[in-house]
Amino acid sequence: MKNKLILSIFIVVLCGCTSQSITISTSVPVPLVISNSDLRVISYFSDNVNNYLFTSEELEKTDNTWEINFEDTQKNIFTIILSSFFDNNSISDSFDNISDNSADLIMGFNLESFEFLTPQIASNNKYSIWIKYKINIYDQKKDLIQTWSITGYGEQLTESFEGNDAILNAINIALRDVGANLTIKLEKDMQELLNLMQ
Amino acid sequence: MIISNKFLSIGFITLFIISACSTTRIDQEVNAAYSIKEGESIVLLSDSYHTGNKTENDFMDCLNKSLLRKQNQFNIINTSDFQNIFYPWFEPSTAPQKIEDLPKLLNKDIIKNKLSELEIKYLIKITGETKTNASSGALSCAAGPGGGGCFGFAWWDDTSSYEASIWDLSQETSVGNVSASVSGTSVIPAIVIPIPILARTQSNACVGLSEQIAGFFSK
Repeated sequence: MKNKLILSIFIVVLCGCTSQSITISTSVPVPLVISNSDLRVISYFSDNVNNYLFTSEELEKTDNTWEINFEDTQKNIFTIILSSFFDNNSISDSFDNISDNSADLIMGFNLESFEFLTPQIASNNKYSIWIKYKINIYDQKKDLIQTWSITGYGEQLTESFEGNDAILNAINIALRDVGANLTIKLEKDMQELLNLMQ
Repeated sequence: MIISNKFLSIGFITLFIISACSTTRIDQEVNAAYSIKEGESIVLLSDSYHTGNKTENDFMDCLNKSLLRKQNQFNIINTSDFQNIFYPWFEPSTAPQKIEDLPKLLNKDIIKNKLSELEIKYLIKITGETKTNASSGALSCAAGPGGGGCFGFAWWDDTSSYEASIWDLSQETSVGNVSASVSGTSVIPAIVIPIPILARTQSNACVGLSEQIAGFFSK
């Protein structure tokens, strides 16, 4: 009897909540911008940009728990954007490993927040994703000259999507939006950055 | 028994005729002179969800395909391909939302040159969505060891309303608007087997709007 009860509880627990695990492998097209061959740029990425694994917290849990593995997607997107602007662009493991005067511009990327709403949480028929990054920009003496906040938003209606495709698409759109916003920020503020460097 | 079958058949046919009907309304407005030559291209782009627009992806796919079938006068560059080539300038958060936003974007030589290279003359901005206005009825299904079945009647009203605003990229003006609005009632009567009789408002709106756009440029 006891064994039957344990088995029943085990089955209920097993069926009552499901865990969704998805892996992101988004890319972005090479931006249509004019590249700069004079500037030497070195970028570095925090751990949550290099290899980020999101696990849903208690507040975000409804029927499902989510595990979203970004692998190196974010880093690849930033690299595509920076390479389109700067011909002389390289990556460093960390800020400390960059020596003085080895670059005209140093850019450090940090993921500040990743938030999402599922149709169950929001009581609607779409997934919504918000991503926010903090980008620190240093001159060749490694002095901080600017801090940027770059955000991305994506939403996807669940209609005509199967399985996890809707949330995957919403994340892809949000990451693509991050790339778009960073490109536009770089284009808009390039002259200001050059002035600050001097 | 024969009489009752006959009545049942008539009932179903009447139901089908009444329910599957949809009403289509199309409009066209011309603001300025326009022309498109063979070899020139157009692009369809839906308005951003950032502005509250909810044009469905499958409607945009349908419109692209339907326009390709309906004319051979000009080229149609697929929306996704266009956004990739011009990334990031025509993304949901960055694309011009009003005709007044266009000059700022076209002042960039790199964008203007690419548009000339691809001979893209018109950008067609699509807005609109399919909405369910009302629904009613009840349908219940049950299954047992001896079999299963459904019983009941459900219906709903859909309206698919879309508008296309045609922007001339060389003149930086809006040359016209076309629109298609389709309303229809879908029903599901069920006596053992549910029989969905759907008013395909979205696909009818897609056909209607693509005919409008093709017709606009053929004049």
